[in-house]
Amino acid sequence: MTTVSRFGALRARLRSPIEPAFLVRRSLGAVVALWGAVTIVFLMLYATGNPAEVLAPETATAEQVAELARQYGFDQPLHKQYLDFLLNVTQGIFPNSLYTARPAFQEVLMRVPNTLLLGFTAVVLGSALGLLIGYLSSSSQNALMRTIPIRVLMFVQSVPNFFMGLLLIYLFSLTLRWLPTSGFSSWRNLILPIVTLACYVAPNVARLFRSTMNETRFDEHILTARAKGISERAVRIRHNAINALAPVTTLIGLQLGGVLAGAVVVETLFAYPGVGQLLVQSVVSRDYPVALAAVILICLGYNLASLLVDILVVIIDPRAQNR
Amino acid sequence: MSAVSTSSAAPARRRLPPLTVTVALVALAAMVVTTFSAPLLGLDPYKQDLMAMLLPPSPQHPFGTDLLGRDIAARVIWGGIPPLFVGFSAAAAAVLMGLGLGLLAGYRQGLTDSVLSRLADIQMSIPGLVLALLILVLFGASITNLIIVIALESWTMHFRVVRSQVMTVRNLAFVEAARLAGIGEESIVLRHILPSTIPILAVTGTANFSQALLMEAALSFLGIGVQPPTADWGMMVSEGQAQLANAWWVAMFPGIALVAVMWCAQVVGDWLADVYSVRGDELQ
Amino acid sequence: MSFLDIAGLQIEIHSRAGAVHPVRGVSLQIDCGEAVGLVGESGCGKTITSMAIAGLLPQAATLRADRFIVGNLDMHGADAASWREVRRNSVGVIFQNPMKALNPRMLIGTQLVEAMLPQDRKSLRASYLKSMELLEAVGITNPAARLRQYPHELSGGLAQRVVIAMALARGPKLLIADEPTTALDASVQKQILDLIDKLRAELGLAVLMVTHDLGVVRERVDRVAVMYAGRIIENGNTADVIRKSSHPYTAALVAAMPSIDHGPDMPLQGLEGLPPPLIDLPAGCALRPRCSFSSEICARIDPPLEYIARTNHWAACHNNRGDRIELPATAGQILPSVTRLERDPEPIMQVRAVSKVFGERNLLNFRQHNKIPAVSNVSLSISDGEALGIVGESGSGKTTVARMMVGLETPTTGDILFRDRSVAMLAPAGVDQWRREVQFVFQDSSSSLNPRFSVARSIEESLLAVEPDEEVRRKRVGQLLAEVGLTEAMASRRPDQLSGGQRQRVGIARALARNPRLIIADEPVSALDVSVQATILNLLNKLRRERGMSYVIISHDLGVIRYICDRVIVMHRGKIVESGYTEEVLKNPGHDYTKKLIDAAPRHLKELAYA
Repeated sequence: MTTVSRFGALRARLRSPIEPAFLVRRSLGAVVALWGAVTIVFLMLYATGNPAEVLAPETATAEQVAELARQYGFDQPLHKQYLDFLLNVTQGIFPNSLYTARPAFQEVLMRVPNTLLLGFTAVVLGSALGLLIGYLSSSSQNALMRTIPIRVLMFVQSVPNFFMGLLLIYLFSLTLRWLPTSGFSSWRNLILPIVTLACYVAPNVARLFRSTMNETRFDEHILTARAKGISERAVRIRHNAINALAPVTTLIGLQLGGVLAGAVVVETLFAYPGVGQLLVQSVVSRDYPVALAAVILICLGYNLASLLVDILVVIIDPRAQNR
Repeated sequence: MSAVSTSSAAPARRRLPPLTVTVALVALAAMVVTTFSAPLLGLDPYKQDLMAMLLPPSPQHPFGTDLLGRDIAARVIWGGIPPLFVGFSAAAAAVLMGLGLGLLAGYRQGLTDSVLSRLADIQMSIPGLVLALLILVLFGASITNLIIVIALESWTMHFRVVRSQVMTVRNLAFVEAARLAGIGEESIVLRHILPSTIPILAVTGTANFSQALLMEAALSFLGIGVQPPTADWGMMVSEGQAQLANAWWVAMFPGIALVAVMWCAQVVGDWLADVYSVRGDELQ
Repeated sequence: MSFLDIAGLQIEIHSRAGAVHPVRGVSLQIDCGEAVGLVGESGCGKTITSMAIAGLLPQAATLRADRFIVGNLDMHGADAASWREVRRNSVGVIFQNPMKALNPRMLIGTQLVEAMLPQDRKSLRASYLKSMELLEAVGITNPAARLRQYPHELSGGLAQRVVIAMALARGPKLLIADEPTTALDASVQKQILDLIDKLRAELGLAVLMVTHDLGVVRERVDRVAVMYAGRIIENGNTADVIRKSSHPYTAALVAAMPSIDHGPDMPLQGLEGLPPPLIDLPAGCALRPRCSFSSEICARIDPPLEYIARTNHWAACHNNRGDRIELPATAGQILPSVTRLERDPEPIMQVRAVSKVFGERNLLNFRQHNKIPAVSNVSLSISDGEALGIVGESGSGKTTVARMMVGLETPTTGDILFRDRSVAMLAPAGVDQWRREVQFVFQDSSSSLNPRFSVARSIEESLLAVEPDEEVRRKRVGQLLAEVGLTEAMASRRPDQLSGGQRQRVGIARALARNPRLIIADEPVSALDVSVQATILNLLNKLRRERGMSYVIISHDLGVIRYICDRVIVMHRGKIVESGYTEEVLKNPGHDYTKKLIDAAPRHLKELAYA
């Protein structure tokens, strides 16, 4: 009879599903995507014809513009400008804001924590709500529980996010006076924006989770689990539900772009001082350095979040790495 | 084949849509027709009447008036034109682009596929609204630009599904059989591959329409889309936000119009996805 | 002492189309330590019956029985908790596809521990030791490494051993095996079945072996029950049931199996048609539409299961006269030597020293593919009027060779010649001739026909390039349909409205459209039910006789090869290990691998039947 140490027994049950090859491949993909995004920004800037004019304040004279052009090297050959641009961006060097005269990246970075808080909480909340309602509508014994919550969510999905926010303001701020309408002076300001954003995430999550649960309910490994004699609840959750999480997590990853776009709108609606609001403000006021810096940082954040979600998917379903 | 499969010899291929879907289709058609016949209805969305500012709904002004005394009902009808037009055109353009490039990438594979796929990946690494904001502000916010921007942002959705479908179908035995029958590659694409992409394009197309509409509304809400005084639902909601406390109708009616169109499009889209068995994680 | 005692089991499932009765009165007894086989083709209700015994029916199913005793407990109307107890203590189940039966996201070790009794998994160390014990008992070498692996990293045979270990973890008294080897290669099948036998002997298990393969059952179980359309129609000692079948369906099953012990001189017989759908069955015997013995009483009364003294077992047929059933001769059964019209000694196609390596590096995709060649230095030739078989297991490269011969793949090295000219260098006219004279029949008829096309349109496609006149094409399609035994009415049907056998006939009709001299068929009958296989094989023989065609038949089934092919090539891991005349190779196999294949194939079936 073999003997074994406690460590050996533990090791036999633990193993990371993530293969190094996958990690490398995916990270490389993220870097390439980011490079592509920065290049697109660069191209946008130069497609206007006169980047110096774009980056200079509106009141600048022709001389000042020419001075700026020389300063930033816009008179140099294109490929050299491109390389300089890339180098500068990776180091975080960017022109200053036209209004506050602070470096553009700094302006944006100041706002990142706020948007992160908003976005992260909204995704978590929205996903949790979606999973709950999806589970109910697929596995609940009560017929009402199976139909009503998800129908409500479906209706919510057809309400555009800015209108949803508006309705919430009308109800909770103006009529009931429970919550403030805008700004960021206390935690109360967070509730409505988070709820509005979560309403974007929840419906699709619920729908996909429900259909996946229903589809996989008769999968053979569920039958095998039941054949082992473990409790029905363990079968439903450990085998059915957690396995069904894989496509849902992929979906959440795909929705992150929409969440960021939604954040832009929601922050503007609620005058919430995040990166999205800064982006819109800077775009409207033609503060291009800040606008471009915001775009680049948003892309960075999006790609990182996407990478993390993909890793999460692999942890749930190791087969996803071998696509 | 299990003992409980109950398909009979001739399954009905075309099932009639359920009642909700028919209602949604009819409603959608009605709204589209009303909106695009706005010029014929003789309503003026621009007429200001500073004596009649912010009036609540009444028989003369069924939806009330806004800050400049304009009739909101008229503006709601006219205001549907930009979103619906942009939504439809952008979706159509995106579908065509996605179909063409997806066919190319899926069928040719190799370098073409790698390049196009990387392009799509890079495109998808910038959230749509963000890119749209940038482009519109640099190049101006005309309806044409709106359509172009939204189409550019959403072609990847169709590209992915078409490419995946083409890659699956081209390896199926019946395509190989067709090759062995000696009909040309072009015939194969037209006879076998293209028709197999239509169902899924129907689904992604309707999803795209909803998304495009939403994006147009959001951009106009932010002030970067359609500019005043043109009537546009998104923009009207934005104008109404300031008056929300004392004149709720200014923002509510255009918002409700948006919800109505979105809901109809969603019901139809869901039904199509159901009929053609497409899952949510394949759509985004 | 009986462990399982069921009488009059009926199961009803409510679906949108109505009430389905997949089980219409099944009685079964299994004693402790006994092995019983439950045999039938797809749709007969055997799987549902076995699931009912384990309490794993879907919620929409309702169950009625006169007696339903499992392991000394009366389970009639039992609730979910009682069934869980039964599954925990007395019954273990193994399923058909081990890859699907294991949870892809959990480690093998974790899943194994989940199956154990609470006292075995009190601590990490205890569960580890028990896991090792279980894995060793099912013959897994290096069990410690397996515990830390994911299901997709295991081979099919290994995964099935794990599933068996899980089923036995709590020491059940009955093991239900639902098609345990169907998804596995022939040589692995034998290992798994041997393992089950061994465990049965060691642990005194009762075994219920559910399968469609009479061959599997013949050698391994004491008694066998044959099911058709939800009822048991024959039941008794295995040797008796097979040798002295007293029901037409059993006789047909026995007669339809191409065994390597019987060659082209003893023709196969199949049953035309399909089992009836199990909704609203008409009165009378369910086999009547397909049975050549049916009489008037068969249309009115469903025959009861009766004891037949002469043959010492039970059968349900009005027409048994207490003796073995003799199936009537079917037309075109005796096979004279193939009539040759003008025999061209020159080979139609030749394969010369061909190798194929898969996997091109994709520039922007940093993945490397295996460099193991799929096909390695293979040569063969096929002449007019010959039938060549290529046999091997999955991964042997046989399909790749076939595909290269028609141009669906190109060889990495070596040459493929059509009528003495290299196919790589053919001019368009030459390519056209090649395509005309050499045709291909695909394995899986459900994907070889465009699901949106009607049958006629699919067949017509072969003619599109050569016959511009639509009317002529239509007529030709009609002729082809008749030749393969299908009616004109089928021309407008879609593939999903046809049965597997009918679809395969369409595939053959399509291949015949341009009157080829050589047909290459890739596993032409593997995806079909046994009784239908026989009809397709008979069709292939008939066509060969009438048209004087040559065949190259790819199959993993030695019985099929023996029935149709004069010569055979045995392939293993991309190489040819043996070749020669079929009879010779089967009587005196030279290579070890050939011996292994022959060994793993079921034998003695027909021999005993005609004893």
